[in-house]
Amino acid sequence: MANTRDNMHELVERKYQHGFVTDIESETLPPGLDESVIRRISAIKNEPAFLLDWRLKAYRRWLKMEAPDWAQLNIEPIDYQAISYYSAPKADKDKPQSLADVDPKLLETYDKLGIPLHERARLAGVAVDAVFDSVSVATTFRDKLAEAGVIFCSFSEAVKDHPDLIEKYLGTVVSHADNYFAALNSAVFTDGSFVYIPPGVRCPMELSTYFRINAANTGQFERTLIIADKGSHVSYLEGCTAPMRDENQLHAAVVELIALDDAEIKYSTVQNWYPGDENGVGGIYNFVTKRGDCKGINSKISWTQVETGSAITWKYPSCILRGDNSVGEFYSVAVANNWQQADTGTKMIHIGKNTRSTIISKGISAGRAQNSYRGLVKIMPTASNARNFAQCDSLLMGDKCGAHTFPYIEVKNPTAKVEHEATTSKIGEDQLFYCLQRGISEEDAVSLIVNGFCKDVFKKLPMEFAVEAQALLNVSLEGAVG
Amino acid sequence: MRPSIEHLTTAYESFRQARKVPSWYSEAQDKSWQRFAEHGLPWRKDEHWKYTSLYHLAKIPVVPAPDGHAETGANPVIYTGDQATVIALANGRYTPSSSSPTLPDGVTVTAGVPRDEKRSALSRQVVRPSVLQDLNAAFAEQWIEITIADNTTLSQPLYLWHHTSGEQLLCSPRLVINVGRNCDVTVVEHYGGAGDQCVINGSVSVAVAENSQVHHTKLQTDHDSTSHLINTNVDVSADSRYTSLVIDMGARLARSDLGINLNGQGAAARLYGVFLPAGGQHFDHHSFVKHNLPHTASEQDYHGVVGHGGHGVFNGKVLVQPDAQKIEAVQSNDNILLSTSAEIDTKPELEIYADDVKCAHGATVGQLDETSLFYLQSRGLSRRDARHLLVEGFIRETFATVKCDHFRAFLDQLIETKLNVLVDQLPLDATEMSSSKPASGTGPANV
Repeated sequence: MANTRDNMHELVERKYQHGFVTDIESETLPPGLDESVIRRISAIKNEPAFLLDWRLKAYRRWLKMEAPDWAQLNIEPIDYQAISYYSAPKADKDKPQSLADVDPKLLETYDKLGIPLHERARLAGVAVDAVFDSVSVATTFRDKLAEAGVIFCSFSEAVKDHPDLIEKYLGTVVSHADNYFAALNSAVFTDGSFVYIPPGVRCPMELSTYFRINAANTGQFERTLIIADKGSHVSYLEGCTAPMRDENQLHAAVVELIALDDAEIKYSTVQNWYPGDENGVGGIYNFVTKRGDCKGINSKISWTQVETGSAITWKYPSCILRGDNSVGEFYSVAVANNWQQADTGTKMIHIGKNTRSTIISKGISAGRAQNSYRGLVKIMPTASNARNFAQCDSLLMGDKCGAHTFPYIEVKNPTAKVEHEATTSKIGEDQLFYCLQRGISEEDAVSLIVNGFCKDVFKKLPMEFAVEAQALLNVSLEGAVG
Repeated sequence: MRPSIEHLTTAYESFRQARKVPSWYSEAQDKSWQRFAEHGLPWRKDEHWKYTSLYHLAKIPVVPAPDGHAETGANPVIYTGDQATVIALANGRYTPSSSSPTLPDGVTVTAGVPRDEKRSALSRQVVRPSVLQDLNAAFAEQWIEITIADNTTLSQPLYLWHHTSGEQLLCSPRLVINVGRNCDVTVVEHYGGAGDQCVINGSVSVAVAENSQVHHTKLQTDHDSTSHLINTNVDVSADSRYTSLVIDMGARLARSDLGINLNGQGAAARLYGVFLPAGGQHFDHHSFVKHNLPHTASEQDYHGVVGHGGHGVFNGKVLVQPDAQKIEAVQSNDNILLSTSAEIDTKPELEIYADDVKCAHGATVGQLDETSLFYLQSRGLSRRDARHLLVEGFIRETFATVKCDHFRAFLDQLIETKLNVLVDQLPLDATEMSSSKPASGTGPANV
């Protein structure tokens, strides 16, 4: 235990030591991308040779690929040579020194979301140790995890401390050449999270990026790898309901989940990055590849997401149901307001026998936003008695927005049962009228109806997250009364 | 790689030499051909051809169907003339000799190159343009125009008998059906014949004026070596109702594109379909309903039963244009897979840019319900007959729209024959089906 704590402190120290003293590590690479940039990133991070080779392999493939254009999205061309692919974490002196220096608009949002005061500072990017010592909290968590044998650390630490696990599992679910953005991520990713749950262990707490040390500035190309060994269980929370301060416009993350026999992974995301202003100017581009491999028999992977931020969302958390009796789930609420565009959904690939999957997707469009569900359910010839149920509902608020559904269903086994249903409608006049005549204000009525619409998904979120998500929904849809 | 168009290019060269059409028309044909040749045949990288391959077309050295009246032949499955007005087409050309001697009042049929450029342009908005339409335009020498005058009510169906005969022919029927105001008509298009390895690449354009009702059935019993590619484009005006029923039974490859423009308030479309692929057959239905104006409605219901070695594809799309409020659109596609070597790919799409709409779609894929089978068997039916009964019930739902009793009886008879084939191919033991390895199709290999 003491040992872990020492390691802990060492790590914290390391951030300051190397991050800001050593010349190499504090540098920010100039914009541009070529092999030398990748070699440089790998050198800065002191990576083993296999990882550099893998990055280069990905980069060479990426050069030959074209950006996907099949999504129902209108994307301004991205200049990949104008992006800096490595920048050292910001020194505290460059950050806002107190909440007084933070944009009042942001603080107002925090207020509406009911975020505790000390957390506001952290979220707004105020220099951490000036106001709140998160280390002590995190250390307590670390001890508890270490006791259970759970490895939960940043990706860079994992590369140094557990290279064998990285080499064995990295890229086995999302290969370096999987798609344009995944290839780019594989070539230039800078950090992310790594989780390993040993056999038979039920992770003693919800893991959250919130408590991860060195989480600051994992940057635009984040890589997450979660391995649940036989009979283990883990619930992982990503993101935060509060809008995060972020200067990067392009985000291309990759998340890989691996569930071995009888293991279960529950992955929850709340994404609320800057969506751009009322006129559609600015905002984050969020191109994420998330995929889980139910490798073992009786394994289960469950994705839950609440997507309210980003100017463009391109995201399809998927499950490969390889093990017999494995289960895949996808619960999603995607909200698009103003000029936001979302093209999101899932893929359920049934390979093993008696595999089951459930898809519940709720899309809400308001303003001039475009919101699409795009999903694939594929039943391979080997997947006898596979079962899938998919429900995709869209709610339209305002007459200038759009809601689209593109479900692909491919069945090659006659014993499979696949069902898909979808509806699109607006908030009913009669529903609103009913609420109004009971004395509920229009805004509250809309919020009531919208929360009811999303209930199926919210109830799958960890409890405290669900409460925040509801508040978030109200804030996101402010001024979009249907 | 796209399928090669070498044989088609050769065919076009010889067609150019031989054709006798006005110069403005031949120029228009050359332009169409250029557009086609630049693009090439569609392949799986084209979103709407993701599940349907045309590689086998590249291997058939087709020649354009020659002029002169081909035999329309006495095909046992043709619907007899005394209950309908027959308009016969042989290899895509109008054959008055095989057609009913008189046409009902209000109906006129003309065939030939359109009289002038303006008319041929027929600047109709095609719902989903396709290169196969360009290919059709390049080879089509005869436009068959059926005009139905205002206020016409037909007691008998107009029965368009598309007969294909010969070997490795490329038939390019081009059909234009104009229905006037306040009409009530039933049109049956029946594609069939014994043509060997023929390619039918047709274009059908229907325009329905205000306040009319049109029932349009497309029945396809082509020879099992035929490739059947038909693009139907329909414009529906205010207060009119268009009902379509598409039934696929024959052909090796059948691809039906059905595009509907709802162009007037109160316009409605109902689309039904039945497809029964088996033995290496590949049936693909693409429907696309565009709600261009407020107060329009559409309904789609397609049923697929896929037998041993069959492959079914359904892609239905509903588009609600901006400001087209008060829309109701329902879409459903239910499928039954009967065998381990059967495959179904379905994609019901919604694209909605208005908010005051009620749209829903659903798709299911499953198999015959074991408890229903057991129930029927417990009442003394053989397993085979129980299956037959359940499948029949499943597809019969969609026939309710066929108004003409004679024609429905005729359909029943055809379906019965096809169902027997489907059901008899299946192993009798249920467990056999789920455990046996996928076998390759028994019919011609499906590419």
